[in-house]
Amino acid sequence: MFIRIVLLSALAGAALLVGFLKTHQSDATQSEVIVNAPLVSEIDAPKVDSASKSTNAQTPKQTLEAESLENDSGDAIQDEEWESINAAFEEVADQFEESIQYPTFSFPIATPEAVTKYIPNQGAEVGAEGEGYQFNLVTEQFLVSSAEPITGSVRASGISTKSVRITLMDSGQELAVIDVELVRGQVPFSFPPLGQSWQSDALLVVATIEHDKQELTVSSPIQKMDMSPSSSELHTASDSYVDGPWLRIPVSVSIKQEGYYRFEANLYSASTGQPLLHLLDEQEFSIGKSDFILSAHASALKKMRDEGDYLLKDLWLEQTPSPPDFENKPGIISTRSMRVTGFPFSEYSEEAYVDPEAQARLEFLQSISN
Amino acid sequence: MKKLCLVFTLLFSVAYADVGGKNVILIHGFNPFHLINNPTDNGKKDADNYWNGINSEFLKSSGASNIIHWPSHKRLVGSGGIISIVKPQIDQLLNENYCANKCVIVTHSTGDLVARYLLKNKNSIFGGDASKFKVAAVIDLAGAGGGTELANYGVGIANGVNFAGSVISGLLDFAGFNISLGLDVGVLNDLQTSVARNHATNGFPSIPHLRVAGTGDELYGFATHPLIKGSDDSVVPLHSACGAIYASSYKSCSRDTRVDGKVTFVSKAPRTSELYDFHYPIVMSETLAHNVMQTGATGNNMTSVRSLESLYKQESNSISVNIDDFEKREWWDFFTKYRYIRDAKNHSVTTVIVEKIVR
Repeated sequence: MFIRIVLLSALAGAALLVGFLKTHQSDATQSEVIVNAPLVSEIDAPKVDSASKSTNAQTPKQTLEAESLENDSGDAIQDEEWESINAAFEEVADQFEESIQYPTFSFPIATPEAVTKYIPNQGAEVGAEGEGYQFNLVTEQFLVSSAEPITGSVRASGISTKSVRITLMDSGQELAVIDVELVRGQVPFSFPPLGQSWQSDALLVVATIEHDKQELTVSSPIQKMDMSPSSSELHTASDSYVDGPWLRIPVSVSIKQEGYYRFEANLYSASTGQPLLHLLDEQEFSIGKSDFILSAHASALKKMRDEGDYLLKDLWLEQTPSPPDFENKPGIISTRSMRVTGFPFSEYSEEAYVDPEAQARLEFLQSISN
Repeated sequence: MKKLCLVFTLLFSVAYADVGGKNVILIHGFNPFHLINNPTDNGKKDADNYWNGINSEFLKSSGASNIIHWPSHKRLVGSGGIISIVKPQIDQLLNENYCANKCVIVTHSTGDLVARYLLKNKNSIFGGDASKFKVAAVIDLAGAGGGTELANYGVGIANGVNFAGSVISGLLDFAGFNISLGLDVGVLNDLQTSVARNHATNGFPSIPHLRVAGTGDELYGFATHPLIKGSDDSVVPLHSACGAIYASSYKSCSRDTRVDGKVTFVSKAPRTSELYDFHYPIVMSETLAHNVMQTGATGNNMTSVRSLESLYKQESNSISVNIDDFEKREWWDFFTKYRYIRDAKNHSVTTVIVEKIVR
């Protein structure tokens, strides 16, 4: 009887151990840094929703508790893991502080890396992945003029072969092929301008690599940016000026077809090169010469702590879609950057930006709660 | 007396959809069968069936339909394209002052891309009526606005790219038919990751997109999961459903919550600065598959991302969101903390939205 009890206990213990190992093994194969985290820490923020009817037992503001915690290896959480957890929550707080005070057409760029969000005409990475390997292709641009080279890059990890074949295809026909060698897992590629041999609207860029006796193939499209005839052409920025709480940046444009146009650009510090604000203006223009007026709010410039001078870069001009053809038509931009004069913050007025939509939302919520 | 009767008649004769006190517009997703059987009604009948099982709060029972229809064999833009077909339907709703008090747009899958394009280009598309098209929020179910690798493969096959057999069979399982060389794949072109992300680049209006993302299995999921980057719902990758700016390989929409609700750090997830502006993936589910999101199907646990819910409340809060969730320590995972939306398993996604989220 005693032996049976001992045996049963041993079996139970073994089952528990197997369960423990299984949990950690499945997490490990996902290649995540998984850390057991306690309660969620949330932002310390002013209450906006006075009509809240939450039945949550949890309060909105909680702090991370210093329970005895382990990561999936069964070790105590290391300092860097705690930093990662806290950093995830701090990011949310930073995001909040930036977003609600600024107009969307004068939007602070949270981090230098976040400028990627605001760079127009980018290719998106496409890839194949499996157990222990990845293979990715990205074109530098999505819209490409037939007079421009077609560029991009491929990267791979966990694949022993280094040779990649890159093909341009137009409706099933190969237009051009190059073979490139991966160096430390990545390599750029470039095709010379296709000119008139580019017939269709879109081409496919196809990348192929051999892995484990099979071919991995991925493809990504590029579209022809037909500039002739274009409905708009950007010229240059006129002298910027302070207008109350705003830095106004007039940028001249020639319009050949009346309609709605949008101009977007990123404002960079001329001294440090740091991206500061995403700026945008949208107007309805008649045929002839007109001005976009990019407007940077002083609060956004102060947030980024830069009085200028500045550079406008990542420029994008387009006629926005309207009946009957509902097409976006890119405009001609012959310059990559424009210099913008800055002004001391003391020259701006102190008016905060008030989003009339946000104000309406707040008043609506207040009327409901009353 | 006559005037009083008229007032009552007017008040009660028009039944509007209602989510968070706002009228609803529904925009559906991709229908692969349109590619081989082009609908003659621009997809209207299929659109009406698409939302079968949706919570009745989302449906409008009189006047112009709030179910927007569009055919999948068309491209998003261009003369005769999807936007040209969708615009007059929204015009009809605007003529009823349907969005006078702001609408909520609910999208599924490719509907995300359609809605983003409409809202970003609202002024030029609607002209003088743009001011009538007031939108409080968009709720994106399995949003495909960031594209899906399945579309890259589908377009490639139709254009003669020589993919492996697993790709061809995966697309066959997904679409239900062989994509052949020369087939016009319509909106699949727009769902390629580069194309989708250039249709809806940043610089959005400040309209919040509340997003629901899943990583569940369709019947063909075994064939499509290997073709899609990161975790996915068998059709749409998390990099799209979360609203992430990079088409990267993600395991969650949040770095503090796993898709199954485990409250833990997840490195393969976008930082908040790596989400499109005003995009809040506040609900995730490990078991929700792509074509279940908009139906009446139940049985799926769902989790909330409290950090992003909080961020939404402070940044936008255009419709009241208070997710009814709770946390518990699960004995089978060594008493680790998990977070669940209360009773989600007993309700469909859309019922969870009206009963547990937007309230």
